[in-house]
Amino acid sequence: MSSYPVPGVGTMASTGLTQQQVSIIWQNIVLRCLGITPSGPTDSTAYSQVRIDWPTPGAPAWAITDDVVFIRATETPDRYNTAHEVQPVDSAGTTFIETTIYTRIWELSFIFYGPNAFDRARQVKACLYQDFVHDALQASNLYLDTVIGTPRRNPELFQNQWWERTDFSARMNEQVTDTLTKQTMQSVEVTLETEHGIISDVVVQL
Amino acid sequence: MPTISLTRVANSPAFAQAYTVNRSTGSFQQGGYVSTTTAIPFWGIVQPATEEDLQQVPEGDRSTGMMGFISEQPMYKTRAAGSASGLGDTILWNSQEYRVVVVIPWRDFGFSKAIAARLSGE
Repeated sequence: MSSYPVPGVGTMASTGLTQQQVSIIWQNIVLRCLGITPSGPTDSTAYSQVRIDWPTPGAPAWAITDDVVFIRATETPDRYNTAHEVQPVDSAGTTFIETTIYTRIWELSFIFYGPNAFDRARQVKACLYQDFVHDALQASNLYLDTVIGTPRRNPELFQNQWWERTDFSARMNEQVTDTLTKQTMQSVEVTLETEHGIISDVVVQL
Repeated sequence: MPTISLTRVANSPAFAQAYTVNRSTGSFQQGGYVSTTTAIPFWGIVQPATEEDLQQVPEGDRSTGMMGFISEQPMYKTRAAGSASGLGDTILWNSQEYRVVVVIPWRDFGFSKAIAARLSGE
């Protein structure tokens, strides 16, 4: 849950996940799909096999003999995420909470390198239909689109060697709930004005 | 092996000056690569490797440029080897930070040379 001020209005709180949070969720799912169990969050042997794309300062590379997966999570436009449901408010206090619910669409790219890239891509794709994946995603308001891309073998030429590479992509929906605390109307000012100017100015307290 | 060593030239006060090398070591963890950095005082020759360019892009002006650093001590690019794994050295010189992108292996002649890219972009 993140929150930030909206000047002149109030404070917005959102369940929307950060890109890093989404990447970590998928890092753990892919590790499990590959049968790798990290001993803890700092297990470099495990986590070096499933990496997250675009590290800000860079990161060490891998060898042609290493099997490594990269996860790239980006939000993507879709007709489905244009609909926002603003829930009706019934409050008699001085403030009220305006709740807006909508769906974000995430595009996930799984990029496999290494001698077993093609087989590991098939292994992970097949695993995505398992219950534990659904449960892990649902816990964070994420729901996988079951139309998942086909793994495509696409070796890369680097330093005079062909590096095995296989990619596939998937999409998922994220249900986001934004809550904005606003002030209710406290008073109404009624002004009567003729061609001679203001003849009455009354403030009605509610 | 060469019989001449240029270490004395690299350390000569007539050419050399102080700068700081920030050396990182790290590992892959949940969420990405995590590294820690240690500042190491260096002494050596600093020279321009490229001109400082100004790139004018719609979002603003970007300054780029590279400097060459020569020292008796080695400097490193990003390396993956096990416990020695780490990101490339960054070098602090004249209040600007540079990242090592080229290492020229002159070790047999008693010195190391690195070319580093300006990081800030400002």
